[in-house]
Amino acid sequence: MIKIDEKLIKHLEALAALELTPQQRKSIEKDMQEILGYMELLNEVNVDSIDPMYTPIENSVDLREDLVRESECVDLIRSNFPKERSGHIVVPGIHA
Amino acid sequence: MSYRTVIGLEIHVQLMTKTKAFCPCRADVFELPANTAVCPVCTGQPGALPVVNSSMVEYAAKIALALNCNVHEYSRFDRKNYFYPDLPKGYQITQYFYPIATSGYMDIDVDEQVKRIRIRKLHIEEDAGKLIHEGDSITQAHYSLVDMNRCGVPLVEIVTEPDLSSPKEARLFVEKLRTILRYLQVSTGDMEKGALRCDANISVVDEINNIQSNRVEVKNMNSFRFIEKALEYEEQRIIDALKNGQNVEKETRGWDLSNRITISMRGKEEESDYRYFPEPDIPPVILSEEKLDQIKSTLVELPDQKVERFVELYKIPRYDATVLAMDKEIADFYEACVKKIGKPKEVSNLIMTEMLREMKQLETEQIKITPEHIYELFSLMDKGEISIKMAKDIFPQIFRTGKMPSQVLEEKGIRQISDEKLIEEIVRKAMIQNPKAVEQYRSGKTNIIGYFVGQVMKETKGSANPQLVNDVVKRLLEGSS
Ligand SMILES: [Zn+2]
Repeated sequence: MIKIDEKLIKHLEALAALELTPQQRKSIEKDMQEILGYMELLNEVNVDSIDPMYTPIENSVDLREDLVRESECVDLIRSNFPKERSGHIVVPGIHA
Repeated sequence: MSYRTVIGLEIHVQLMTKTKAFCPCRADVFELPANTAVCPVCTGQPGALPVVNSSMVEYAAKIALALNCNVHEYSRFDRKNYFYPDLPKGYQITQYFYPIATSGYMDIDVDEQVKRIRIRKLHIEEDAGKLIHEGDSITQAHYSLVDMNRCGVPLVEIVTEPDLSSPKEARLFVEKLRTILRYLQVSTGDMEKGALRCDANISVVDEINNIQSNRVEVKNMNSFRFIEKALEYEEQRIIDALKNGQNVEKETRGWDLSNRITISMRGKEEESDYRYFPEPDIPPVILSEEKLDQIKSTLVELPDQKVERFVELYKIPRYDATVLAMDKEIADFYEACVKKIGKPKEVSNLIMTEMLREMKQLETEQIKITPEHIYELFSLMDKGEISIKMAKDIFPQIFRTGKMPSQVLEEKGIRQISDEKLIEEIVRKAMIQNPKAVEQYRSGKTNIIGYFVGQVMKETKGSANPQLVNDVVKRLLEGSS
């Protein structure tokens, strides 16, 4: 099983763009250990001769015809912008 | 010291489908007001389901075929996960595990030699939104503005093998690629508008000491000229480091247009971890052999094939054929002219020198004139009414105004005078006014003939047929009236 430690939690924290307190890290470390430990059960199944299934849809599916249809939700989507200026969403600056 | 440059390209091509990759929003969003071509799918609303655009798959297959790729019957989509404000879903839909096409090639002409550049893979993905940073630079911006119109616009990414060995080859490759895209009518290929974006990986090998530099990724090269300039700069920067026994950082650098240098784009270069996994909402794309054959049958004649045909059919030099075939519209124009006029080499000369120069000067890709204009120009030359020099002189005006050559000549009053009677009249007048010069000629100073020719040219504002003037002057001076 993959090693769950503070370093990994911090890495996941960065990838998820979250900021956790030290207590939260501790508790997530414990949760993850339990969840992944449970998932270890799956390793008991022998799948050597089985291809992984990516989708239950086996036949080819019709693709969408290339015709423009304007969404009816444009205004609704825009009304959900937390902060807006001249039609743009305003977001915090990206600091490298 | 001997250095070998190694360059590989990653090129993003915006497809000119009517709709976006996975939703029916408009894909042609360049000039739209911000956040107007959006829907639940492309803004990543929970529960929205993407559906694959058929034209997108077709266009990608066309490009892949034109680049001699192996087009796969089975391809599928994956999620590339990362957080950035221009990506509302938190992931980009791309093809990571099973791309639509692999292992192709494109030939480029480098100094009259053909060089084959291998294509590693070609896959479909969606574009991200557009960010406007308020402030002097990204890092200093207090906030940024997001426009999601471009979210979900279909892209094809083309990854080459590191087969390019100079900045010039890199430019030639992208130029030729754009030509092919335009032939196929699958993308505008407009670099300034971001429809064609090129990133490069460059490293240099010191062949004597057998040392390879780190690889540097160069971005932001948004014109053909900048691709060459930025890579030349980077190539030199790496060579300088190697010469000093040093290496360059393995990093991403951007072309800084105002200072004409590349600058590091990184603060902290954390190892990227995109956690790719199969997109569960999109079934695999199956491109049957039948469908692929049908797409193949719609492929137009491609630049390389056109060059071969022009050389074969019109017996023009390969160089000419290559220049003409660079732009399909020009190639078609050339052919239409030759069909009317004949004279394939003469027509190609006129188009390659006069017309392409005008187009370059006017920074236009539009041809406002028709083969009819060229036909008339050649007829006027054939009839001796204008010289080739005059044809070249008036060409810019014809091209810029779209007026017929005869009309331009008339307006400028510069028809070549081949009217023998009229020329005789002018010569006679000059002889009467200058009996001395006539005397001189008749007493053996025959080079005075130039004086009379000059008089006629002055009188006719240089538009008299020079050969005819010479003949007439000689005949009259020799007294055979
Ligand atoms: Zn949409």
